[in-house]
Amino acid sequence: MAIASNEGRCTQCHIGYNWKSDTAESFFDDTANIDCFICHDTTGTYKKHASANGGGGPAALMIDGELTVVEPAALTDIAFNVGTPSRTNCLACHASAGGGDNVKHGDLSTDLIAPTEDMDVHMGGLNYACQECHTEAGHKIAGATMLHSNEGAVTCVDCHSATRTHTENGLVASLLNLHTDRVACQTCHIPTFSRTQATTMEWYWDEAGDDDAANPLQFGKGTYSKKKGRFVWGMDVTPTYLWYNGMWEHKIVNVADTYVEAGTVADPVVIAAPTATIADDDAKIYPFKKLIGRQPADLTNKRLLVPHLFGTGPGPDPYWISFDWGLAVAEGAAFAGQPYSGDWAADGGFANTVNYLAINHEIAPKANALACEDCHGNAAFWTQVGMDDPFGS
Amino acid sequence: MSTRLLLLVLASGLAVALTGTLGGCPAIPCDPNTCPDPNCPDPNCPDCNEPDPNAVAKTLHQRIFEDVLGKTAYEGTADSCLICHSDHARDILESAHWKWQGPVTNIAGLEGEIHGKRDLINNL
Repeated sequence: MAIASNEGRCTQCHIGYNWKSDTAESFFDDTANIDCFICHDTTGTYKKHASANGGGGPAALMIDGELTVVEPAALTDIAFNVGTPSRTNCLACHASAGGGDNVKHGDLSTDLIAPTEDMDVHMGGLNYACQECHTEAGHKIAGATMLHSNEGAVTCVDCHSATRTHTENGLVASLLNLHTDRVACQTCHIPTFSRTQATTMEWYWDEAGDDDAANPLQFGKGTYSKKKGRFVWGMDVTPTYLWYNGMWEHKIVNVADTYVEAGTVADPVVIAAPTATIADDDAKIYPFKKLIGRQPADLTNKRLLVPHLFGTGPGPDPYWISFDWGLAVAEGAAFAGQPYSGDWAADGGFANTVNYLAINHEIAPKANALACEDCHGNAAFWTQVGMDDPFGS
Repeated sequence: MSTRLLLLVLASGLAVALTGTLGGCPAIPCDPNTCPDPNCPDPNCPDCNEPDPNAVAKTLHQRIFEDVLGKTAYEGTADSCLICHSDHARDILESAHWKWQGPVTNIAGLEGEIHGKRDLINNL
């Protein structure tokens, strides 16, 4: 799934106004398009409408319980009270990636707006704003994505010692410090993720479109939507452990959107994953969320296709109006410039996919860190990381 | 003490004596019970002659909008924010949060190419 053809909806979380499917490149050169309030509102009342006016995130307020697009004058109280961003500002977008609270990342939900120390020691215990770690300079904000770290990366050793990592209780500290060359801080200090609110673990787009499907709740969240398909949620999830050195592979439209895997459940298409192996000296074991699913593809030519879901700019049949994958995928792929016959019956279908997402938040108090026996003696862990347990059977 | 300095001290002392103020407010911290200046520029010193018990202090940006820019309402990014913050706006145009893409550093073989949120594919 990709932004192309769906700009009007996805850009509800852009720091500008009116980025739609037909928006020209010159949009990005005009400071008048910037939305200052999405980060600098301190009243907590500022909203952006997802779909009014064709999308593109016009400013909105809740008026009599309805999300309503408003003129600038209605934002005067917000303008009078602008200030430094708080967790509320950042999480409004970063916790709702994937279209809902904690859907995508697994370690970022709006529960972190007012967390306890158990939920996250930095945001809860110390009440750190995001920018304490994600430092800002000239409106560039540190934090690597899977693709780029040109605005700086954030690592634990920005503040915590890399050399005298564990210092209390001499013998235990010595044993712990034997691990730090090859085990990342996050592995032991984020023992599980989504501890207070469930995250999406499986997303089956192919099951969308049913008016009559049941929607049983799992961890209090709906498992079926006609627009999106079927979800499986996870809570208090044990991470998948992978070797990681900062390098990724990632599917990118027209650059890397074909696949060699079978696209079955047993051999899913890899959407994104770390590329390091145990043989890389600079790699450590890190925790990841593993998100699997099924999404549209050209099964004949083994290419993931971009579906048109929202808005009628790129065509009259986005999935969320037509509920016809054939039409929606033809429009999306054409808009994105992907080579595709347009013949859904002959070439279209759904590929099984797997996507690994880094886990860096929900850092637990050190008393709750992984203990020796969480890994040593746990055969599943050693199978995952591809080595023998030095203390195992 | 030089003659010129002595004259300056005497002159300022005279000014204080005549007006009861130095630069508009008393040189000592403004005490609303004794401040004789109704136009004291210290925003924390309320109008001493007629203190309003219901008055809410204006925020910094409200004072800027109303007292500096002469505006009673917000008029949009260009006509309100950018009057003072155009430097930040130019910085924003170069940022990843604005562009939703940037020079790749973390994918082997694509280093330096411009990609990002705008053109990646995921399963969400």
